[in-house]
Amino acid sequence: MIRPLRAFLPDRIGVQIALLIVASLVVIHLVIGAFLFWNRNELQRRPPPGPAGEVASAIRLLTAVPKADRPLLMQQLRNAFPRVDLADGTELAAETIQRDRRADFLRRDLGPQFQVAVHGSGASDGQNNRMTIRLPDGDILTAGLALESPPPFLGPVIATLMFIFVSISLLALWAARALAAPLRRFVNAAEAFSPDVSQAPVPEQGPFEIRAAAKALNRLTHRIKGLIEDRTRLLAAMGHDLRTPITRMRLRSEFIEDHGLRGQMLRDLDQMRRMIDAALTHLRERRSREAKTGLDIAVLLQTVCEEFRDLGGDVRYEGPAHLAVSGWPDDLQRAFSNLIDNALRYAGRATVRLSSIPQGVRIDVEDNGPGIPHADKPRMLEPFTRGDDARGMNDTTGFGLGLSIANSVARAHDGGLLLLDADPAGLLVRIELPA
Amino acid sequence: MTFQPHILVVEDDREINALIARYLRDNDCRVTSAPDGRDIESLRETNRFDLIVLDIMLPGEDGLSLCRRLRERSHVPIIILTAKGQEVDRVIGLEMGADDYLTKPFSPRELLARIRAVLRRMRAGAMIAAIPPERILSFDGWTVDRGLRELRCPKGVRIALTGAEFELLQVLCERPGRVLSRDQLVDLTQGRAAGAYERSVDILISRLRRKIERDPHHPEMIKTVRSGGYLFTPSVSGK
Repeated sequence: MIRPLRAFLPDRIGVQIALLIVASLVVIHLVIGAFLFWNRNELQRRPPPGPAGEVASAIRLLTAVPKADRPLLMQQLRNAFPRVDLADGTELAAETIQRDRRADFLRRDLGPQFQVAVHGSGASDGQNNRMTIRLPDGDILTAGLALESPPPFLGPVIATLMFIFVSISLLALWAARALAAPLRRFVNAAEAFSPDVSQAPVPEQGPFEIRAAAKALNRLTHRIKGLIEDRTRLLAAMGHDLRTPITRMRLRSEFIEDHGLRGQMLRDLDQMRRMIDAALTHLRERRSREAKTGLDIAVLLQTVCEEFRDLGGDVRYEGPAHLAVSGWPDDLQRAFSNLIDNALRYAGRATVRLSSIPQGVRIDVEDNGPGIPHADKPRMLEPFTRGDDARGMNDTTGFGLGLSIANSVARAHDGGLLLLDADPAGLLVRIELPA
Repeated sequence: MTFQPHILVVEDDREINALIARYLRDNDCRVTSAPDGRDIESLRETNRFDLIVLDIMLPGEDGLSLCRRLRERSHVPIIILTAKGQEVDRVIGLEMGADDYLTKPFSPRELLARIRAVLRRMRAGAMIAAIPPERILSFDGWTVDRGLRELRCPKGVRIALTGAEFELLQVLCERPGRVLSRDQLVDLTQGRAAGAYERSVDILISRLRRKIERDPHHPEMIKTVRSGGYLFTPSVSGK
């Protein structure tokens, strides 16, 4: 029974608290209402405060006294109850107002021997009404019914509504500040967490539980950063240390007489060097860096294209001759070199297009190769993933870091990378950067 | 042209040191090797070195402070070798007084080419008083940072150049106002040993024009001379 009910419960703390208040108030009102209902007869017997009760008391006193003493008593009663303006009456006036609470009360209270009539201008506010009461022995008394002072508020119902409104507002405000806001801060801090960006710790303020949770989150962030930094340092150190033996082999290769052998050694060593460069770049990509600088992205792309063309690649550039953006030129150069290298390896022809867009610039690297199946696209941005899952690196020079590095570089520039399908076939890598 | 530069190679890895020395000797250089910075002072008293190749990762005294110490005492050109290749490391090395910077593993040919370029810069500076061998040259608002190998336009925007384009621009900046034939340009840049040809000079010039001229089809800075050469017209100053 509980489980399906869950679906109807609200999600947010503030709304939950508000509903709780409303429910409690409704229950209270039901209880009070039931109590009042069961005791309504009792309650109705009590006199409404004010003039009606005074008139009833005055009439009883007059009735208890012999007729001869009534005029004197009248004087005293007039002094005692100035509100009701008691006076002698001459005849029972015609009743012009039927429903008057106080007349009904007097009829009930005094009994049927007394006749009560209310007459007056009929104004609903009760002013200028006079009540005429005929005592059993014939004497007639009139009383003026002054306007009953209105209750301080427009009625208990409205008072309750005001109370509900005010308390819900106050409680919602409190819930928002003391509970929802700190929780939202946690969510933001956790979402924004990134090992290479130093961000302010979550403030440890508020109720005890919130403080404890903030402390725990800050400690966790610290631990994670420490772990990642240790790992990165270790890998970077390994990469650096490998450079010395590779340098030795590189230098030695220069003296190999056999041209074929020397060529092979140089190629392998170059592959090793590029692998270390790529891995170290990938590790470094996660750390904070030097300041951005203004660079001409059009010239950079053309330069990279020219370098590949000089090596015999079929690369063409389409776009303006000059276009300035802000960024890190070496990283952009590496990113686009990787993308064009990929394109040439998997397809044989690459086209690089640069254009301005409202938010900045767009660079498309398009090839006419096999492309990447839609389902595989997210995976391809992970490091060390290649399209062909072949692990052999005999004649291929890719290590599966090209797309991942291009993606990190794009993100580091506050831009993005998209993998799209070229028309009619092939892969289109789209990078957008803010200006 | 038969100038045999005397190079001091300071590198703690004995084999790398020996291999560099061997390669440079095979290419018309006199080489003295040292394993660290301790003996440099006494070596410099008894020898006149034209250039020092210095590995930054040295035992004992750190290579960068050694570089700074050397720079305080003399103008001898220094090329530093290191495993670190980030821009900030290059900048630090150049601020310490190095003239050029190579990351390991490097091609020995590249090292030789850089040695020749730096020596040429020094000699050119000595002969043509107008161009001191400063790291940063400027012409018409453009700046050429020979240490970081960067070109920036008057607005400060960095313009990418290939290695060969940069070499050519450097040569042009070092000899402004003089007609340079294709032959000379080939010689001055990589040298024939590297396999450069006259035609590639034309291609490089046209690429440079596309990058730095206001109107590449009507070049004002790099002019073609009818007899078969080029002329760099702007005046060049060093910072």
